Amino acid sequence: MHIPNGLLDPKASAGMAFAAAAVLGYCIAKVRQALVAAVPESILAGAGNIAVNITQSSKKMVSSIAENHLMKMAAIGSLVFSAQMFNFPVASGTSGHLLGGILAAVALGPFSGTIVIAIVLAVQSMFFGDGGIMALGANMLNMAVVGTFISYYIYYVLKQRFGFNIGIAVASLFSVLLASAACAIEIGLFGTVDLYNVISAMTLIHARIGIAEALLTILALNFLSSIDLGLEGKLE
Amino acid sequence: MNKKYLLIVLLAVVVAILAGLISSSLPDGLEKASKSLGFADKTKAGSGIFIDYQLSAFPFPALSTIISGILGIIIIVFIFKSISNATHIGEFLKKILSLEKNK
Repeated sequence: MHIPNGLLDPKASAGMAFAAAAVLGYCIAKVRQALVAAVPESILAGAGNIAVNITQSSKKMVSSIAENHLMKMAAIGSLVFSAQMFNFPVASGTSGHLLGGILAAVALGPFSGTIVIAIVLAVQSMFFGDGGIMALGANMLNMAVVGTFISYYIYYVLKQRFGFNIGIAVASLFSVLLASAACAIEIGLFGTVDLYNVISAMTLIHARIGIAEALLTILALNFLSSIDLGLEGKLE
Repeated sequence: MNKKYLLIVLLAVVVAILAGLISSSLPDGLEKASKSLGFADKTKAGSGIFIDYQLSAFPFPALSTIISGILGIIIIVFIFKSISNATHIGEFLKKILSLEKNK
């Protein structure tokens, strides 16, 4: 559901780019905060005045914990990227591929997951012509913000009542459905297509893709938890 | 890089190879809707060096998808490695610790 160039009104595209940038900025701030907080106090205390200066003057400074977390983001990012290349056929002459929003959000936590999906989308539009650069803000809003950040909380609520796998399945299905609905609404409002038709066409196709998303995400996350990756952004 | 992360990147490479070999070339959900609702003519082709995961001027489409997929994985790892380097991370704390020991 990568929106190409030419479908959306440029002014609306710019507005959505700002909205996506605002959410991404918030996510970056949250991740940085968590990583700075993870620096063991004892190390900083032992280093005396120098450490006090660091913590006060440079919030950018983080630890090897951060380096480790960024490499984990790189690994999940490359997995989502190549999974998005793999198109499987769904009924009526259509193909679909994994979105990977819930995969990234559950593996890395919602804030890091959103950043990873946004970076994957940026790479796709800049190097691979997959999604227009003009529509990058809209695509980030659909897949990173709606399909990852918001959908993570569906998983978060359901996991507590129904367990890990049910939470992943339902959240994955809804992440694809909600992202495709958001995509359809944007095309309906800021393109020149009838809103009702485009929403029904998009969500009908993506209901099927969402079922595949649920199965693949369960498979991937159970594999990742079996190799003790430390899911949900737990810092090692 | 941690061994587990390396394993995941290798898995990503395997998926990229599978995508090159057996990926479906049917239109995706949005392309299908754009054709059936008649707004496909408004869309413009994307830009980039590997449009549709193909290297232009390379004769074998499957291999070309695999290579562009692996290049994409390298680009993504490079981006995160750069962020990690730019924030300077572990090295600085190591310096502080060695300063502390030498006191």
